[in-house]
Amino acid sequence: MAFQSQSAAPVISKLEEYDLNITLSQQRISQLFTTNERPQDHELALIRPVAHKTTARLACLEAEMSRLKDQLGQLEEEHCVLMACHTRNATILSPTRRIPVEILSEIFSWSLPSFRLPSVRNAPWNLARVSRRWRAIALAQSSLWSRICLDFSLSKTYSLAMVQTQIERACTLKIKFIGSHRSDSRPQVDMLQVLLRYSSIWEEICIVLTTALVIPMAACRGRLPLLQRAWLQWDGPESQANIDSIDFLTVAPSLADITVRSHHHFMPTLFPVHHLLTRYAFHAPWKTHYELLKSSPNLHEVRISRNFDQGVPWPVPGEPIRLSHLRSIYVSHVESLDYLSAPVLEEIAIRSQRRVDTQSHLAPFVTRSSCVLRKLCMVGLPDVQSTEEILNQYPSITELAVRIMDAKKNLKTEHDVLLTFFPRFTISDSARISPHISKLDFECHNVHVIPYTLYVDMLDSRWKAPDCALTASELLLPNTTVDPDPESLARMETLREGGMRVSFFSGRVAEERADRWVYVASWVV
Amino acid sequence: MVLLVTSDNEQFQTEKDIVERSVLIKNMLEDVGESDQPIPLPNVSSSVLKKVTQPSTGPTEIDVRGRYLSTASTTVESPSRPPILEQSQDETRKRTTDISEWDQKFITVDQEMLFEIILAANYLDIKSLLCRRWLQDGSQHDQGARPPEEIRKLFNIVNDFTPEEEAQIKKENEWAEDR
Repeated sequence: MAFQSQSAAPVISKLEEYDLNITLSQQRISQLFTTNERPQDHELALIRPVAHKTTARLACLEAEMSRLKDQLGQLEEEHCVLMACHTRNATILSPTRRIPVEILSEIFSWSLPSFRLPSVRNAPWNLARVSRRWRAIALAQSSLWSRICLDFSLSKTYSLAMVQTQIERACTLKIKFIGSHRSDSRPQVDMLQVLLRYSSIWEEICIVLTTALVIPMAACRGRLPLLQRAWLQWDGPESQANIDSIDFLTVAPSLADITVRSHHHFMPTLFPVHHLLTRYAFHAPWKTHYELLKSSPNLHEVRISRNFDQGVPWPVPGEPIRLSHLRSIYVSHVESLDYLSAPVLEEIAIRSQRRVDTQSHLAPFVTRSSCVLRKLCMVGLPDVQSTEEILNQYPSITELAVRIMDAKKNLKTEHDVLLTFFPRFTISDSARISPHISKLDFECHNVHVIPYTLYVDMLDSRWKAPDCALTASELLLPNTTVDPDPESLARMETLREGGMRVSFFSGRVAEERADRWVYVASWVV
Repeated sequence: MVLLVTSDNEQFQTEKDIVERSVLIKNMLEDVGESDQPIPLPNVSSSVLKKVTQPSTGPTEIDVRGRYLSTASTTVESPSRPPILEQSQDETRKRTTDISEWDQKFITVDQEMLFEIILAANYLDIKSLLCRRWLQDGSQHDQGARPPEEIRKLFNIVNDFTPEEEAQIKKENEWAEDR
């Protein structure tokens, strides 16, 4: 098909170039126009030439408009044909076709949403519905299908067939299953039964248990050959009714990382007896911890949360348990350190207690272990004086994190802690506390108590002091999405521009980062 | 500084700690040791290398919130750093689905360039860059949540499913019904 533009169009004059005036008064013209009066002869002689001229020009304009319409039609036709051609070429030449399979696979793996309740609207399901090639690549990549997250606290129902299909496409499974005693237990149990049929390919399981779920879970005992990580939690005290103990993890030959969280009652949980365990976190009486620590010499990380044995005195320490590989430890009670020795320990997080002198337990532990501490995290309502003493005694500690948490949620108490820490760590002519600290982090749960000005003053003073090593600081506010005041923010920005890594996080990310200070396992299903 | 030579024979002086984010270049530097010899990148053109190294103009362009602030409504799971400076997030497999203004400006390239950058990122072995390119393309940010029809339109992909496959997909779609 050949397309050709029309030849030169006639010049269209501007309206003002015509003389359309009639040499009669406006009033007379209006009178003639709005009545049926017959014009007089001399008036006809004036009006007729102008009328002829107008008629002729209108005809000319109409002809031109018609011609242009024809031309526009041709252009539209040409545009339409070319667009079809362009679309065809663009489709054929699409760079996406040339992306090698291995790159597309890699890209697919990064397209997975971080919190993936199963939905065919999300990756990997939507990727498998684009084209035959994409589907083949997605189905061939079993890792895309291995993460299953089911949250029954959201009052959602999930398709058994969909989960079953996903499992069949996966080689191993990483499961997050949030049970809820407030939701109907039948769909939860049915879904768990489907997952349990494939327990031999579980690599990770994070499960919030209810009474109804414990019974079927027992079926996986001895059928978890690949399980490496486990997180058990209870959905409130009701969920623990009539359950005496948990033993389905007892035979899990690959299990290296266990978290058992219970804030309500102690739930005896039998861990596998082997030396593969490199990490555990457990809310349990001290006696249980002691036995676990004795039987787990290869621990790299541990969270010792003593609970459910209030009033039971600490036993007389005997030969310390030597944890030769332990690098990070959290203790809810610093007295736990009296029973341990950890020669390669680098990081320690301690929950401060009002009537317990942290140093009197920490010092003998560090001496006994001959470890070189690098990072200290103080949790709760730590005392600035004792924190300062620890830092002075162990100059190898170059990172300090302070996680302020008041169990009674007293805002003033949190505020008071910050009011003591920020000025105390501010460098002045008279005070130079721990200039060797290179990273100084704070987390506070109530945004309204943050004295931002004091915080930035502290950073500023340490940044400017010539012998201060501070290069980074994080301020974490998990319970807010509110920015600091503009002036403080601007000052933080200035410090950043100067080279200090000032970080301000809020919301869920802040909570996750603070959890890492105390070695809460991260579950990114 | 490291001297890089592109496929069209242009030379780039680049800071060592920046180019070492590329596993390929890092390995090359380790192999040759301290040397003034230029490193040839026969699979990367100058225009692409410019895009890859362009963000190294410095962190001072990004404000404290843009890089480090995260709120419940804007999920920034890792500080938004220039892609070439980005550490691999392989270990955590976390994804960032919200894109900073800085990133938005940076990624405004046509699909052909996007493709070239993806290939270069793969060749240079910069995984995070590879994936950022993908995630940032288009008006929406999260390819993981795009409907297939939109993905086809965006990337000029033909729906070539057989009737049998369509039937299977239709079955999958039924699982999406308001659950």
